[in-house]
Amino acid sequence: MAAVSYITAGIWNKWLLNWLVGPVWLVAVVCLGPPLTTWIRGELVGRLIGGRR
Amino acid sequence: MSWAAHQFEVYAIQAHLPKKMIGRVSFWAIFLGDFTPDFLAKFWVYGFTINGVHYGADVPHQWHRGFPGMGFTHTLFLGIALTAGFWVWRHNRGFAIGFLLGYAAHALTDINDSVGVMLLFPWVVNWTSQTWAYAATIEGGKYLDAAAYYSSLGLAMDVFWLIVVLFSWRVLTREHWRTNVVPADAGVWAFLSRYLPERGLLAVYRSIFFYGVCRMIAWTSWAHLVARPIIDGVARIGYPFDLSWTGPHWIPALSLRHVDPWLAYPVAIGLFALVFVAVSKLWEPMGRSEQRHRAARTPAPTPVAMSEPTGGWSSGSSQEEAGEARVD
Repeated sequence: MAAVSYITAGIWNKWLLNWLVGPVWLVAVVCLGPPLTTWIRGELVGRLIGGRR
Repeated sequence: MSWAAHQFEVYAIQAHLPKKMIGRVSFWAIFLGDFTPDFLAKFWVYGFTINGVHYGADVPHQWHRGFPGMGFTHTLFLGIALTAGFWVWRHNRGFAIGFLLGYAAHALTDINDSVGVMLLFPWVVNWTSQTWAYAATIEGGKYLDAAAYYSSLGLAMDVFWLIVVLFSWRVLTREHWRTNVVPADAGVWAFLSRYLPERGLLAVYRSIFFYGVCRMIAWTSWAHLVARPIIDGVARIGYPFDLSWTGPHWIPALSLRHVDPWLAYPVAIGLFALVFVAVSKLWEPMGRSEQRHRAARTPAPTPVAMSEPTGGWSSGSSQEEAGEARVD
């Protein structure tokens, strides 16, 4: 996920391809990805349940 | 110059440390040593343009690898001098040795392009194997440099170092990080653990490898699939590959006064072996010296009835963690 997104973004925005952004990208995806996924899933489930009511 | 190879060689060194140094040489020092030459010299190679005015080196390859210029940053001479400085300052064997190994790897890898490095500085002559063309120019900037590198044997060099790391894949595992990397830099990892969970710390450790793989794929993809260059008056889809020696043919290979290219590999490999032998020989004496300095700095301990649990992370020194209290 981190690699695919970084490579794709990097090809079209080459300023991203530097030693600072690259490592930070991975750490950000690894650290923020799971809580973000959980939050989005919770939101979607919440809306789904709310919609059924 | 090499690109992702410099990221991969950090892990290659980490994976191939002599047995007695495993878990004791600082990973961050290897990275810093490998990173320093380009950090000192490269910012001005490409330069930058503001309102049509270019700020940067007039002759980029002379600035990067020559003398006069910043070529001395890519020499064992400066690597050894900085290592000696760190040693005198901190008396930290794991850091000093790691820094020197990283620095040497960077300087010696860079003999491959057509400009090469001044291996035996202060002797101001470059050593180059001319494996691929050095292509950093004011007009072409970073893009043309990347396109040339990833169209030539430079790509093969990156892939070679990637394979070296992949053959030593355990160096990327959580277990290796816990047992071999953290103990050597316990203070740094303890500090980072205040802000990041363990998976984040592991990501930090792997991030340089990640960056190397991604930049290699991204630049290669851009150069061969996205870019639309005009070469010899012909519009092309992507820059053409040329894996011949001193390629690619479509760009002039810049050079400085250098020795016979056939001498470059034997001398560079010999020097790297010499560095490895030297650090192996110095390892024990440096350990004893570090112990003496630590003992001199540390006040006599007061007896404590019970030691408190650390909760897993410790900011204690790496050598203490690794049982370095035993003098080698």
